Amino acid sequence: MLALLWIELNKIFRRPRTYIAFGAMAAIVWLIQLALYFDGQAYVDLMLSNLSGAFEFSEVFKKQLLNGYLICFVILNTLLIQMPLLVALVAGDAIAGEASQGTLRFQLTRPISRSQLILIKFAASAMYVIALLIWLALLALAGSVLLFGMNDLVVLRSTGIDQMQSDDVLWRYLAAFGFASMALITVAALSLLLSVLADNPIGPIIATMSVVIVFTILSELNIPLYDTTVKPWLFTTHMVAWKGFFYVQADAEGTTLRGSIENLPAIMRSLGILVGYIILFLGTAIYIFKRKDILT
Amino acid sequence: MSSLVRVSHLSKRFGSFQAVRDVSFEVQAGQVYGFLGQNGAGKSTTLRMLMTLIRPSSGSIEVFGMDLLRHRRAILRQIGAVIEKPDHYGYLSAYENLRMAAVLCGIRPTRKKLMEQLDFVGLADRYKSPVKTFSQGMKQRLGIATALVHEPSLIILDEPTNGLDPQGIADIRELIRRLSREQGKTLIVSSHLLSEIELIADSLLILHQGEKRMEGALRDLLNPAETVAEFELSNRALTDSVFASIDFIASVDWRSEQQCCVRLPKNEIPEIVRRLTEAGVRIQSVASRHSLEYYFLQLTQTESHASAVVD
Repeated sequence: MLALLWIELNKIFRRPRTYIAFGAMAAIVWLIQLALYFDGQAYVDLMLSNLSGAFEFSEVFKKQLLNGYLICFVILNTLLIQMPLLVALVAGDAIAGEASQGTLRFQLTRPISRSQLILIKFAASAMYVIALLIWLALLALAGSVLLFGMNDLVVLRSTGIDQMQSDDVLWRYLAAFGFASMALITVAALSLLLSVLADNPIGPIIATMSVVIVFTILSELNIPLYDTTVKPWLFTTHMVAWKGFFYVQADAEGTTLRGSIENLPAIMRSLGILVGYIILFLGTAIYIFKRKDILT
Repeated sequence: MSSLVRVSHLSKRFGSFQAVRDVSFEVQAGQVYGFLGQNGAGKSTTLRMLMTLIRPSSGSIEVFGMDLLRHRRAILRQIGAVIEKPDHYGYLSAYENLRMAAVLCGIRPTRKKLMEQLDFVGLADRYKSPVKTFSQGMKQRLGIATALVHEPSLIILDEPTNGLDPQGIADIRELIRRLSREQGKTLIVSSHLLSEIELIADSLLILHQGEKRMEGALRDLLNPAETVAEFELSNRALTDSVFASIDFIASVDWRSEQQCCVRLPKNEIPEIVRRLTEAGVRIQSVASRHSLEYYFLQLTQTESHASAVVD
């Protein structure tokens, strides 16, 4: 099994197009960092302008606000919405790409079960997702900390602001990246399922993005009926639950509690729903693939 | 000899299209078994069912005495196949593709062993080259190497000479002969080329429109002393009367009012020409046709399609 996984990883990482995602991500992160490096204070002013009526911010505070942790938070907010496309480029290609090249025959005429093949391709896609997130962490977190330094992280919310001390932030990022990996692995599982249904990788990639876009729109719609019936069950609703690690509890005086998370059960519920989706997508993919005639 | 492959009443339907209908055959150990049929006859579909790429609609397949669907992995460990065309990972080298095939078969051959396999198919000097730089013939030979990497006892090659130049075709033919004679492998080889099958096969199955038309040993099918003469002549009635008076004619098959095929001993063509000429039949042309070709055309009947087959 490990040897087969090694083969899959070898195939993914020996293909030049795999690195398009890594390159695209680096370009976006560097552009954001560059813009904030030269004009970050204007961004902070704009960010705080909505709250200026309720709070008074000193110039020192504003300067401290622009640090590596905040830049990373901004980047994650921007990039984690786009990353499903990068995941679909690899996972959507896993079966359909092999079918279109004829190499699926090469694999299925060997003594390897179809379930095993799906699980190996899923594991390889998941490892690609993790590699992508490690790359993002290096660029967005380590890179921003190196460029902008460390300080307290302030997160703006509709209800106010959450402030975390600088030594209370790193573990939150590790948890957020861990959660984001599960969210993106869910997209990988969906892409793999759609890949099983097709003989050309373009279809599953477009279909994955279509599902993510439609579900995201539904998740964002402010329709009371959907709030209780549809939204709680859409995986896109739960993909952004990583933000929960940056929402903290405060005591009676409004002081942030170190190491606290405002609503851990909600994050765990989101995680459970994502895992449920992964099992559903994978189970369906195996069921269909075991019965599929390979005609390409 | 024992049956290595036993196929019984195999059928495959895609929606309303019946691709294979009630096909049964047996392949004996050590044979080179030819699958012959026009494009779309059902050869690839049958071979795909043998490799579990396609699920049969009905019927059963036994390989090495085991039910194929129940013992798929155990059986596939002993089969090597190239179905339709050899497809590899173009960005990987010949050596890497071969090693990948070995790992997929659950084995870890030594570098020496893999190089021997590449040498066997004449690719040892290009082992480092990316497969995307290979010619079709080299890809075909690499396909055969990947099919052999786990030393299977049964090898299935679907149209192995497709798209090859004459030298490539000769190379593949030679490889098949060596596998059969030197290594004692059992091979199932499909082709739409009569000449190819005739040169390599011991036994033959002819498929037409998804149905089996004939199965048997090539030596039983082809009488080396017999040939088929195709005549173009002027007068059918007169010709029939001449043919009726000649006892060495085995059969006459009129294809049109002016064209007929006559099965007869090889050395009797001059005699039949003489008799027809003496009777006043004007012969426009006479050509000796290969008897397998004639046999195949008789079985498949549609002459228009046959021209594609005998190219």
